[in-house]
Amino acid sequence: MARAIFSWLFIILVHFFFNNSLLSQLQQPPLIYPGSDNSFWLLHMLNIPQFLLQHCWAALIFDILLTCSCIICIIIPQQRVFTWITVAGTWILYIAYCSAAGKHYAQIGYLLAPIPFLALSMKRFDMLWELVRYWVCFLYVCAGIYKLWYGGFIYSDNMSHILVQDNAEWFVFTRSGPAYGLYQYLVENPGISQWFYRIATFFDLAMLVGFFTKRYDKWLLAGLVLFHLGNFLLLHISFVEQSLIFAPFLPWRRWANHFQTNTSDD
Amino acid sequence: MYKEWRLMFWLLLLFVVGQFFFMAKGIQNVPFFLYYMYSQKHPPKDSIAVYLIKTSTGYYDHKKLSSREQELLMNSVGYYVNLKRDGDGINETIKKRFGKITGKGGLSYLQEQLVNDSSALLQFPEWWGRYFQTVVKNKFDSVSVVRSYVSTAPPYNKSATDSLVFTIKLK
Repeated sequence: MARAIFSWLFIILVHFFFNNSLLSQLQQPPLIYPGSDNSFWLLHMLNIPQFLLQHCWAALIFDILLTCSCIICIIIPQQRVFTWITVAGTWILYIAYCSAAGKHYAQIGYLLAPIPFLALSMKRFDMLWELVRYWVCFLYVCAGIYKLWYGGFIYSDNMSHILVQDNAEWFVFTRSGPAYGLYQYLVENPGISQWFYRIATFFDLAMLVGFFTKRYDKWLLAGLVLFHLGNFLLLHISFVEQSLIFAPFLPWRRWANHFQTNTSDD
Repeated sequence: MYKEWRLMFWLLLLFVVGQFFFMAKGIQNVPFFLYYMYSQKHPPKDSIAVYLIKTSTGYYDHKKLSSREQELLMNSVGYYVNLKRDGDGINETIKKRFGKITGKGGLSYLQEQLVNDSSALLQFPEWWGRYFQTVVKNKFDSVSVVRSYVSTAPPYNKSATDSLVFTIKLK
């Protein structure tokens, strides 16, 4: 399972590489954005993101160290030193990237899933893996509650306005085609587009079930995937780096038992 | 968990308290994430401000780039424009948070680490040009970043006039 998760993380890092978003590829951005986040402040007060962002050689060493550590975690999953380096490295990468881009993003799946592999025993790993699962459930239930609390759910034109706002730049370049037709239809029919918002809220709140039972994990997983697919298709929000939040809902034990059964049959 | 792993139990309790504390304050502090995106009412607007890249051959379709590239290329422009217009508001936050507990030297250090100064703002267009050249396959002699408006009524036309943010020579 460690090999699968760290391979998944490695694919995400490769995705970052091919999208010019590893620290050494950012071309030394001069602006920083600590925002009001105390953790960002702490790291910036220690000059860590600035040093990496401003010195190409340091960023390159950082990227190589992070990538190689991830590879070592795949090859030798039992060790812990490189697991610590990988986990710390991904968090620093996240903070430095967000600071350079001027926005603190919510795509954190690749930060959470590797954490349980820091545990030194199977029992503690199981506990941490459960906690990461509950953490994901909590984030999405909160997302649903916020949609109700702040009024986005009941405001009937909300999704229509969100669609226009998030696709405004896209409309400059795309003036026809099925996607344009779909967006136009949804914007002009706010009653219908608001149903997408309500369905998204339903998927968020459905994660509450995950606190009480694992029986419906495959449905929760399907809900999460559909939620993110919807965000991607309607709002162009990629979920590659967020995808590792699906991992706690996959049937690892069943796959492991199946794999062991097949191997013993051989 | 209390019996099996006492340290984790207390860390978890602290985390839960911290999470609800920051949710009540409405401020995200890593690792206490707040997922309130798109939860607020989005009121209607006549037009939406957009940032575009103007080249010698027309507007460059930056929507073809990956999300990560777009985030760094275009989101940073909005941040840059806000900084130029309003200054770095973080100065006031530093004084509010640390004014009473640290001296001038401490405040000066914090400002140096956390505030974008005028030289950083001056360097921004050049950095932007470098990153743009990295991600874009076409080679342009110079490009301009402009601010324009898109109507929220169909057919979602862009306004005829653009206001210049900056022009950068790439070669």
